[in-house]
Amino acid sequence: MRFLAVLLLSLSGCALRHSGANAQPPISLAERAQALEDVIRTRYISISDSPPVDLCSVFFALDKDPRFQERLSEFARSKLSAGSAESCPASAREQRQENGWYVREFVRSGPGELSVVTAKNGHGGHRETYIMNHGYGDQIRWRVREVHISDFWYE
Amino acid sequence: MGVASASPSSPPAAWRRAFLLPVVLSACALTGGARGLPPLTVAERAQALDEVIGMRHDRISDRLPVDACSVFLVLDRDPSFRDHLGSYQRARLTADAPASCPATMAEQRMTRDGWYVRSVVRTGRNDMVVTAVQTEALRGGQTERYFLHRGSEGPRRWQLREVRIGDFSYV
Repeated sequence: MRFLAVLLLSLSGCALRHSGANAQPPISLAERAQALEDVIRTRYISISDSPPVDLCSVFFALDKDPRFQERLSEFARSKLSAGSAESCPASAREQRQENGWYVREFVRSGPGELSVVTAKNGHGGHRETYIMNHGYGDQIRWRVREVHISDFWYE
Repeated sequence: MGVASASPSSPPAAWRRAFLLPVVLSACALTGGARGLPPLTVAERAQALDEVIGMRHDRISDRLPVDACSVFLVLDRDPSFRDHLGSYQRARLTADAPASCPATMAEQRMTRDGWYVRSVVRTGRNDMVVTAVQTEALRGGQTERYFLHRGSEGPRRWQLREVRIGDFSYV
């Protein structure tokens, strides 16, 4: 009985901690922009330089901010697909019907940890999850710690 | 006496609880390889490497070739190691002849720069992990772990399920 009580208490503790993680503050626009900057940089320097990141998905990921490209460095901007925000579909959902590499979502996966999920439609159907950490200084700077690539599509 | 020794609070029972269980659990953890998993054959490793090399260049990164010597060493120094791979995969290896390869993987890691297949490890009956590393001299000593799985039915080919890339070094 005592064992059962301890087990139940531990499980409730885990559940509470989990719900606490979900209740973390939303990811600010500045944080998302900085995280995207590092994701795009890491993707092109260390992973693959072939397909560009869909410009519209970045536009949506940055709250349809008309100046979204100015939040990125020239290097990151040069890795976005050509086009303009004006030509983007009305919603991120509609935009995902297109082919290309999308920034799909930002998830705060724990204190000091953020995941940026990108996906590819059409041939391949990859998903890339960039797991990022930041330091605990005055200025938060997200950096990619590990990339998980999955959802391979076999012909 | 017999009754006393059978009591839950008696020293032998307490000892069993306190020491025996952790010892048994640790032994189980340490002998993870002794779970009845068969060793990977050269053919299995070759098929997995074929998948990894192909997918790496087709879907992950098409820039850097895989070090031929590391493949040679991982496939038990089989002189016909290239024949185990498809033509696409063979074309993605560096052009070294086995005769010029270092004698051991450790020596090879010390002396050469490039993308290495470092290990091929079975992690379950139908799961394995291929680890590849990029030497520091190239772009920061990245590690790539390829998680492969094969179905329990059908042709039972090893197929890539997930790649985890880490150890980024920023300059």
